[in-house]
Amino acid sequence: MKCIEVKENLNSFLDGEIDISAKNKIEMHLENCVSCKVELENLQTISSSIKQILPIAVPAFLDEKVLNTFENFHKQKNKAKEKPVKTGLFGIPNLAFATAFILLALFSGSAFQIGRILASNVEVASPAQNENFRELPNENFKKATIAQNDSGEKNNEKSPEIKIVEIPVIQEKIVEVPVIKEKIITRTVYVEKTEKKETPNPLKDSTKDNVALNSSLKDGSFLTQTNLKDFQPVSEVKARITKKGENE
Amino acid sequence: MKRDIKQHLIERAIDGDAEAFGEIYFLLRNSIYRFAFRMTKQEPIAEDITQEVFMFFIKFPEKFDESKGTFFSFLCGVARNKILNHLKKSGTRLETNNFEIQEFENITNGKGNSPLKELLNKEFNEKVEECIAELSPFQREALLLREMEDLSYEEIAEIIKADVGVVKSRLYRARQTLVNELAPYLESKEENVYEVH
Repeated sequence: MKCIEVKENLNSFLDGEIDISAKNKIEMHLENCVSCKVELENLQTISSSIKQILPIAVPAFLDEKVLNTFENFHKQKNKAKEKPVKTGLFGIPNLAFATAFILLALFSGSAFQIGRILASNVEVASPAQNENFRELPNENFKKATIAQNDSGEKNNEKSPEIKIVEIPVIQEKIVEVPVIKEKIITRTVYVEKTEKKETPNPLKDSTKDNVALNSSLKDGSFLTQTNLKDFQPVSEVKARITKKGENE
Repeated sequence: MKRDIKQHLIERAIDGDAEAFGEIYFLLRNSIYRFAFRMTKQEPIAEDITQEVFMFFIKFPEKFDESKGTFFSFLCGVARNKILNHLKKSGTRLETNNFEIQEFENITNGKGNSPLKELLNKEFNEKVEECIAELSPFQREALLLREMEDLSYEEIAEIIKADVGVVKSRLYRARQTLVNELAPYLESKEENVYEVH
């Protein structure tokens, strides 16, 4: 076996991780080779030195911390096992159903109502008689009833004592609010037909029966352009007087 | 082997037997802590990692598979993952050595005599410890698991999730590095041997 091959396997030889045949070959080589022998001794020195490095003590608080963590973990685990939850519909616990029903009963109704809790020994004040106030119809209330704490009631054998508190009901006040309507007024200007004298009317003398007056009637901010047949324009119109036969 | 944990002890610990868990803990905690400390070089980090390793077993005992290795190898694997996560976060390169080029200190006294008689094993051990700390994390873990925890190549391979060949390679490079770095001290020891003879 050559030195290169021996030196490559010295670590495995040192750690005992080598097969028997290779081990024998290396041992034979080491008997005759000082260089490889020195290298092996160096490895052994370092290896033994590493093993002699002073051990590091684990701090005492760490031991306590880990052991307590173990105990607490298993305590909680055992607690979870001991109390099975009674399930009802769809595997949902009965307690969850009861809680959901009570919450629904308390908060249902109109947005302005608060659920009333009735009690046998609590007087509920009647709403003030005022024409401006209107008590909301009773059908809007959904009275939340909690098991009463009567003695000997079969439904309440295990229920705790319930403190009943009266909650005032907010009533609605009706106020009439005037409605403002906006009316759009359309202005139409008409000119009445008047009795006419035989005055020269350039419009009438026009060759066309229907004349579209090219002028505009100005009435304030309105500009009206219309067929003024049979109508006499209000505004003055400049007329061009022509002699008879001039345009023939 | 003193770290062999019997299966029934592990099963009792999983069931919540505090005594069984305590027995396992006190048997293995030094090794885990030592490994974590030598790798991270920080006591607080080593304490945290040791605690997390055992808490991992408490919470996830089903992760231990007897067919894949010993219980100690399993804990070392958990510790290794946490150590490497810490080293990565701190920016350590896992395959790089940190040796600085230093001139060899003249360890001879004024009269030029070899100070080997004055050089205690303790000093040499300290130097060895310093050199180990400067190895790359991959080489260091292989060396520590082999030298300090006396694990086989196969067990080390299971922990680092690599082949036996990789273990051999890393061990070879780690030891060669130490031989080179400690050569002056090793030469002195050789001289001492020669002096004796």
